[in-house]
Amino acid sequence: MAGQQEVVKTTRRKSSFFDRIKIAVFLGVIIFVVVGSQANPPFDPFWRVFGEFVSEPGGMVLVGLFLLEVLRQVHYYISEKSASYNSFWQQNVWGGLDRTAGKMNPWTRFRVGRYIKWLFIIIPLYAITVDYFVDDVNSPIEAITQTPRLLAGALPYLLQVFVIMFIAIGQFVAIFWFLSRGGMDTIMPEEIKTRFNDVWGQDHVLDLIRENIAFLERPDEIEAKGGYIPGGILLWGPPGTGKTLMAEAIAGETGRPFVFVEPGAFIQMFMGVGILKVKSLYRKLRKLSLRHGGVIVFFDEADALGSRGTMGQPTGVFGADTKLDAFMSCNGFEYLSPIARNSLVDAWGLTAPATVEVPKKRFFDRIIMGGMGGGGMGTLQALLTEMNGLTKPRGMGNKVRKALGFRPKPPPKYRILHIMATNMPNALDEAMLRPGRIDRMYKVGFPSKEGRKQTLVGYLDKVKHGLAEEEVEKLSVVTPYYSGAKIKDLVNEALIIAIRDGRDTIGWDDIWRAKALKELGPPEDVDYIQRERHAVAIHEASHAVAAHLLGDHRRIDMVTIEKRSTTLGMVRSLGSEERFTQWKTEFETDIMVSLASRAGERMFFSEDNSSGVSGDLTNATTVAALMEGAWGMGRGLVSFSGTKSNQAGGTDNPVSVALRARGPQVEELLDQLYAQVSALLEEHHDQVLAVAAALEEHKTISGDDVAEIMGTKPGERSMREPKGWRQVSEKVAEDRKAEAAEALSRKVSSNGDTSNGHHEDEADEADPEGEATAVPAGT
Amino acid sequence: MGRRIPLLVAILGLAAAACSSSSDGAVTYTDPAKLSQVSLPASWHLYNYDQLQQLPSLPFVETFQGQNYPAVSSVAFDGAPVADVDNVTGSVATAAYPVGSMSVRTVGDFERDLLSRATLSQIVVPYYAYTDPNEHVKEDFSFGDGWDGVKRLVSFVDDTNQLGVAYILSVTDSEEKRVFSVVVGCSRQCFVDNQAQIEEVIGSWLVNKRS
Repeated sequence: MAGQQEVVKTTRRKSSFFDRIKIAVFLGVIIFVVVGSQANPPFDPFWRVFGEFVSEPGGMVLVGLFLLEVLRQVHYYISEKSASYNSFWQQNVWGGLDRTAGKMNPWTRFRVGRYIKWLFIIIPLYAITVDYFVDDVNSPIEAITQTPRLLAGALPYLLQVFVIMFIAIGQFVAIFWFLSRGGMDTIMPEEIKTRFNDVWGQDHVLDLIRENIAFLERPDEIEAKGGYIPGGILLWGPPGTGKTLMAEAIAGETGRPFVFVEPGAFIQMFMGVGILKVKSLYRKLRKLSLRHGGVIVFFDEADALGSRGTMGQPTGVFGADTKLDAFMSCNGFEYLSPIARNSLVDAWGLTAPATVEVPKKRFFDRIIMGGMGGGGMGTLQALLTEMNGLTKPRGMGNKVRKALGFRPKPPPKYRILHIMATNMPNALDEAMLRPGRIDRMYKVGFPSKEGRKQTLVGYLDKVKHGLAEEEVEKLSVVTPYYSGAKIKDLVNEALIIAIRDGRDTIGWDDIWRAKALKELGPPEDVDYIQRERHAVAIHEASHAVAAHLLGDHRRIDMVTIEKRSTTLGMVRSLGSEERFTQWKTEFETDIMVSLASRAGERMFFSEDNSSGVSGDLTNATTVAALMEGAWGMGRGLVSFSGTKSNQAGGTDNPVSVALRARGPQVEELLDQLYAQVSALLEEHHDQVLAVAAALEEHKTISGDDVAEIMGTKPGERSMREPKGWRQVSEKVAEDRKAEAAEALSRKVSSNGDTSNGHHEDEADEADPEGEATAVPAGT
Repeated sequence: MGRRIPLLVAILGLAAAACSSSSDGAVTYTDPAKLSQVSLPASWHLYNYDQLQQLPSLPFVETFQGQNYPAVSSVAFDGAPVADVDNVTGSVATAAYPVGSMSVRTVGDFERDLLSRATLSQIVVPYYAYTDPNEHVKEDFSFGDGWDGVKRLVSFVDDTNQLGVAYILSVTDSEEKRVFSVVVGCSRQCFVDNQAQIEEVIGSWLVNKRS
């Protein structure tokens, strides 16, 4: 019948003979042993002693249990034979009780269960025991009424026991108690002031997280529709991007308690303490969840929890400092575009500079070493069990019910939302990240340009500043890969510089100086000799002029000849727009900028050059080798990226392989580009000298200064777009647009689907100017 | 299941049989304090402690060498045709039917030092106080676990010149705080006529070692 659940009548599953008699035999043996030990035939025959035993409370309980068990087995036996009888008990009697109990609030049910346990188990057990052992107590009722007197009388004894216990085990308890404290702070809803609008620059992540709030606010709605409540969110991303702040904002928005677990909370000196802490944590979480309808637990730096088989530490293919020397000997690779810099970092296995994000490595790309993990033996496993082990029936009552063959009571639904934050997601145990434990993984990356602008405005509003809106806009452009924490630090550093100069208002110069200080470190207080200063100036000016003329895909941020820890001077470029791919022509430009230093030195120093060009040549060679052997930008099609396994089970460095296989082609490419950049510098001979002179005078100049000296806009000699882009994109866009319109019109005419307007909207969004769909094959 | 029911019945039957006492023309009596037990022929009569206390003195409860061993439990019995508590008050040597007693007596601290095999039998039947005492059976007897005593079959000639015979078992508990005794006796001819029954009564005597 529609709308009504069909009642299926079945018999009870048949029990084995052993299961049927085991409890009765167990009780019977107890009764037999107790009675038999008191029997003394012929003076006290067994049956007489049994009669006396039954008249005593203890005996009454045991015999009563025995009879109940017999009755229960009779009940089961009938249930096995009669479907109607079984159905009546299962659906009407026990089912009715379950329905009644199910109407209770979980917290109320928990309390009622506790009172029932006291009323029917603990107090009767106490009364019978006291009646049996205490001479002047003659009945269980008297045992209860005489409790105060008995307690008063037993106080000296209890005190002795307490002292002995305190001395014997108190020391261990105290040690473990103190060890298992700390590392977990509970913040109640009224103490949390953080909200989503306090998190700047991560709107896209916040949008996703807002969705998760519904899980804590309307869990029943989701479960009623057959879903389940996701139990955890992993926020991963570079340091300082606001993961912790975001978790706190979630707690603030939901009005639930927030339990903050410190990274070192489970790292203990003694084995087992970590497990105790995990259990203690989840006891607390369950309690808070019942009381407040949910709780959020936040594991900061979750990689500290470790993994059962990994250390999670990324290691390079080569020794960490093998190639670092090359960058130290020259001027680094800051003049390259961000993508080219990333490629070098990947190719040489270097640690990325602070301004370079290395997001491309997947978890299994890292070389993982075996280890115990951070949490210690058993801690991680205990955590994993607790994270999704909450649906198991708990408590002594359920154990007794299961032992007696009853169905255990399901536990209340604990609403615990796990949030973990880490910048090393590969260090987490794989089991922790499986659905059911961590259901959602959100990358909290560096903010976008708009995000950075929003963050800058937020922090600048807290101080006095004289920055115009366009300057803030410009700052947001030249601070790619800046996290919220870094932006905050930048503004603070600028304020310190302003205060040091006797001002309380931040200006553009303060920001610029602070940025240079933070990114490049403080300049060393050394003076070059005249010849060397001139050589370094020519070197950097050559880079700068080439970068200025050729580089449209990146913009010069600053040029300096101030010596810092690893460089004699540098040209620093920034991406002019957020990009995720790079073209052959752009890499060629990067190589030309690299080679410009040698071309410039040779041009001005009569075919002589310094050792300072070694790093530039390395950069140029690496990029050229990758073009030839990995990126499909050379003459051949073979890619040496990850194609050959070495003895350690990893892959050979593609640069080395490409150089071995394609050395002549790489050399030819470099020669060709060197010739081009030499010609370019010859053509702009005077501008190179002018920039060098400015550097010698001011030591550090900005990209705008270079443009002013050059008298041209950046990228004058570069192609603003890849070769043939305009022609291809316009043609493809028009063709595709016509095809899309035709396809949609066919669909509408065939099924009359009213959603076609939506598709048109999507097509419009995807192609706002009619050319965005024209993506060349292979990208 | 069908084969299990007869098996269960058989087990229960065996258990019931093991737990019950046989009733082979004898009646088993346990003193009210559950200290000792004896089986008497069905035709014999038993006189309990309350009845005996109405007598001038408890039968078969004697002093020895001036020391008293008061009874805490005592029952007397006889094989007379008609039950009469006075049947057990007369001389054993003149009894035409068996008379006897089962008693438990306490031993004081002083008396404990004087306990001997002679004491154990003399405080039941003082045959050495009569003429021509003879001990036809003179054995040490034990129930084990320190419950030791004597078994005596004695004859003597009483003041009326009648020859009487008495069978005595008497033991102390392991701590020698109590004396458990049983005695059956009568005239010589009576003893000869009823010897088998008397020996059965003596042989059926039990003491409660867990009392």
